[in-house]
Amino acid sequence: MHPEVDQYAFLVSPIHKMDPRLKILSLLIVAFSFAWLKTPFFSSIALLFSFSLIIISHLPLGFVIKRLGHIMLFLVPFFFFLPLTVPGETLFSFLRFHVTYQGLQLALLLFLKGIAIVLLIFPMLATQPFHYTIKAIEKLGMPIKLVWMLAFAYRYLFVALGELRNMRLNLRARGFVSKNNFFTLKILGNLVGTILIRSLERTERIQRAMIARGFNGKIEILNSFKAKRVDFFKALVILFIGLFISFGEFFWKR
Amino acid sequence: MHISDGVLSFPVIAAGYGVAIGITAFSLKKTKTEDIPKIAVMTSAFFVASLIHVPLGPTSVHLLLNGLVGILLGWAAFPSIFMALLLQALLFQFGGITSLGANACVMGIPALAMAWLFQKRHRFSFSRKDEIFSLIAGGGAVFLGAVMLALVLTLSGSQFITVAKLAIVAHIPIMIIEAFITLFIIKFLNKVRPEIIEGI
Repeated sequence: MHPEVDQYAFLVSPIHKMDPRLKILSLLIVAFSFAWLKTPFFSSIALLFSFSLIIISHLPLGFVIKRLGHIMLFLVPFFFFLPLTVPGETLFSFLRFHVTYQGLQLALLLFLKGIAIVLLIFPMLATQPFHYTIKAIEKLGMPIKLVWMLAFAYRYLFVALGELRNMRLNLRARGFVSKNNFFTLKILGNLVGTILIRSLERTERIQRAMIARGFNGKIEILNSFKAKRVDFFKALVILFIGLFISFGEFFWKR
Repeated sequence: MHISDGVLSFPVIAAGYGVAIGITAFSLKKTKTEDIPKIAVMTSAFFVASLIHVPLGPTSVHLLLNGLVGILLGWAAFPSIFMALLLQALLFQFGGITSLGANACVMGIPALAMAWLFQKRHRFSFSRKDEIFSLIAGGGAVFLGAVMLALVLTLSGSQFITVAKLAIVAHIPIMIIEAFITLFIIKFLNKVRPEIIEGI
């Protein structure tokens, strides 16, 4: 529905061809098993696996790297905090700070593990149009009320986004500049208030339109997914390698 | 107020999802099917509102508005926040799939607490109670959220205690901004459509 969201959903690759249900389920299980990792070494193997899935799915690396900026913003600061705050062997000290080996190792673990998990999201979600994703998670057992909320929120997200853009343009045309003062907070508060009221009014119209069309509280979603044997095979390969990495670490230490 | 993948330990991830799914199931039972479009459209409005950046000293912070979500949606605030976070994870591939349950609790439980608090204003008779309670709810939601964030981090590993303390301190200015933004939004809603807040 939105060009930017489904930008790379129509490429041709073994991952794109997979049944969305099996794709999402198998990659989700692997993502959660990666959350279990406890050593930087196995986390880097996990990272390698996630990265190879991106290569297989033909997603442009520039797109992936751009999207990684957000998680970097969260994970990179750990390299500054944790070596100073986690107690352990001191690697070196400066001023009154002690940089510990354990802290550095923990920051590295979080970084590698985090990136490994996020990289799995790309082959999982960017390789099919978004409405397929919603349909697939409905088939995987999400309650219909939630699926419906998700689908509606997605539909009206871009409407609200367009409104926000227009209002920002209006503010700029009237010479408004954000500053550190109460006036800015008041104007932004009014802006949010306007978005909320317009959304509420829109809801009332949608509700009336749905009742007029005979809405009875049920949501019908057409199901056209067909899992082929090769899809099961691909899912098994993903699960096998993914779980091999996370369980491998578990037994390695014994 | 958002924990990325890779940070939380597995038991915390599982517990986060458990609590989030439990509260969602309970609040969905209380929600009528006819109200779902309203909650969904409000969810997208809050999602967009959270993209607005407010200047804070030399940098800027984005709005959280979980106190306001609580005030306006009541019990439905929790699934609304849960779905907004899921949508964020699904649409932009920012990640946060494994930490989604914990994040929903960190933002959603304070929203429910503030929804409860805001409804208690009817017990008082002083004037301007809408304003005062919205100020408290807006700031309180962020403060409770920061405390929950610290709790989740600390439960994940004792190495995070210092980072957790820093996170609470870092949220104090955000708390003040959110308190006033929530106040101004409630004042605006009272001016334009007074029946919305009166009915809560």
